Amino acid sequence: MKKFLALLLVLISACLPALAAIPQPTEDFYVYDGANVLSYDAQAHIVFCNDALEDACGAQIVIVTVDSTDGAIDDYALDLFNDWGIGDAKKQNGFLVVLAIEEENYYALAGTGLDADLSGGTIRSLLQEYLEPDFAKGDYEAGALKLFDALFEKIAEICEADVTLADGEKLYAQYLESLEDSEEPDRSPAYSGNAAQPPATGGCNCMFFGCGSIGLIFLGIIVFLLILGGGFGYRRMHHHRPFFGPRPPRPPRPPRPPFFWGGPRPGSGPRPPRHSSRSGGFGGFGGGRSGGGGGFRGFGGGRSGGGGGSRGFGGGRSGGGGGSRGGGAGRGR
Amino acid sequence: MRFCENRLIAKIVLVVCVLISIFGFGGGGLRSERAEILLVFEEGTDTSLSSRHSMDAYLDQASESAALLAQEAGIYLDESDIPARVSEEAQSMKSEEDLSERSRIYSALKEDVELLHTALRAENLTDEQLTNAQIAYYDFKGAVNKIDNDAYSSLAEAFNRKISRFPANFLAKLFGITKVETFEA
Repeated sequence: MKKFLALLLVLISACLPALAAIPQPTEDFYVYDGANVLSYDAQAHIVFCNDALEDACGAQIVIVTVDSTDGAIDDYALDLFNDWGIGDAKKQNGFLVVLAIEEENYYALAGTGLDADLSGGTIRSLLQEYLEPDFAKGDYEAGALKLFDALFEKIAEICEADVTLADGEKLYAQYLESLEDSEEPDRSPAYSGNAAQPPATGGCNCMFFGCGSIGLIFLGIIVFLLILGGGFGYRRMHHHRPFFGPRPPRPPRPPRPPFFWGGPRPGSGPRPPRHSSRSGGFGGFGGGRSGGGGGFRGFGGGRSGGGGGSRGFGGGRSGGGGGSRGGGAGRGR
Repeated sequence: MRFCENRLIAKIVLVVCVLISIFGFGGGGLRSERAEILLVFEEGTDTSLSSRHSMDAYLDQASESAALLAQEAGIYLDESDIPARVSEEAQSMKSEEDLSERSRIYSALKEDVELLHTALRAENLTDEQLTNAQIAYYDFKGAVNKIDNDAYSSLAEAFNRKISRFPANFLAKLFGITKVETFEA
């Protein structure tokens, strides 16, 4: 019973959304619109321009919007950057912009390979010039797009990549043409920047299950099986007894052979005296180098784009395994 | 009496093993671990990139940014001694080799840079006048952020915790192994 209750508690807590947990990347990877402030076209622009940039030099510029980071935005951004592995693993040329809409705050940081050219001061200047004017007015999409375009050109210049924004636009146009034969893209008002709608991508950060219903179904199945199976633990193996009547008598034990028990052993004589043979050596005091303890901060690793995004632009995209060591800049709130 | 049954030889072997454990693996192990942590301080954990990314490099970046900020601020803050103080601390931190002294200067520099930035913003200067100073200030903040996040800090703290507990603290005192300097956030 106790085991059952403990498991039930674990399953219920697993369904609860984690507070300010790092969201999982979507299928499109380059944009995560948790705050629902970016339109379909804006997301498409970011995604397809990133495709062109990554093909040219491996760099990735990720835009993330969330309602709140529930804490220090710089730590949140750094954890997200390294968790998603933004940018190329060797060149470490990723860039991340996090917009926390309800907190009216933002933060941007560059990968390790870019921080010489995109120092904190340079990032701050870019944010002040391209993002802040629109962000202060509440036009988050316009600010994000202006900043993205500026970052695209800057990073393409740093990486010496022969790519422009027009290449990304061309890829988007080709994608739209490919959709013409199948269906129209869904440009519903939910993606016009109105924040009243629930987030289209990400959102729930349940540990194991999707949001709500799948977890409840799974829980119900487990409860049903438990009731049917009679609980946890091993099944007691009941001996098959006759329902009525006394137990049958036990068979008699065979007699013990006198050779092994009690009797003298053949060929045994008195025991020889003990030798004082102590081996040398001593363990020593925890010598050598044990595991250093703190270890190194991880720099992410390649991982595939997570599921959950219902507005994919076709084809899974993922982080290149890049990492950052911080050193970004933000609004300072 | 056979060789392996000789008590005297066994005692000698035991003593030799104990001494090797203490001096070789104990003291020598701690010393080499300390040296490796100091190597991380100078070279960082990732040497594949062309530019240096280590605590030493970040401290140099912080020094340069602070010096530039002091230079810009000195134009507008004639009567204050903070720009000169920041400039001197930045120069000392870059040239200082002793880590404990460097850490002390770093802590003082962080405080003085904040004071300088606050004083500069209180001067009611235009955005154009403040541009270079702002860039230098945020470059400094970026370097401080990288110092706070660097792997060296966690390694140094783990090592210091280790040699403050028995039996490593005994060995550390015996061999004169001191704590590694940390650069507090």
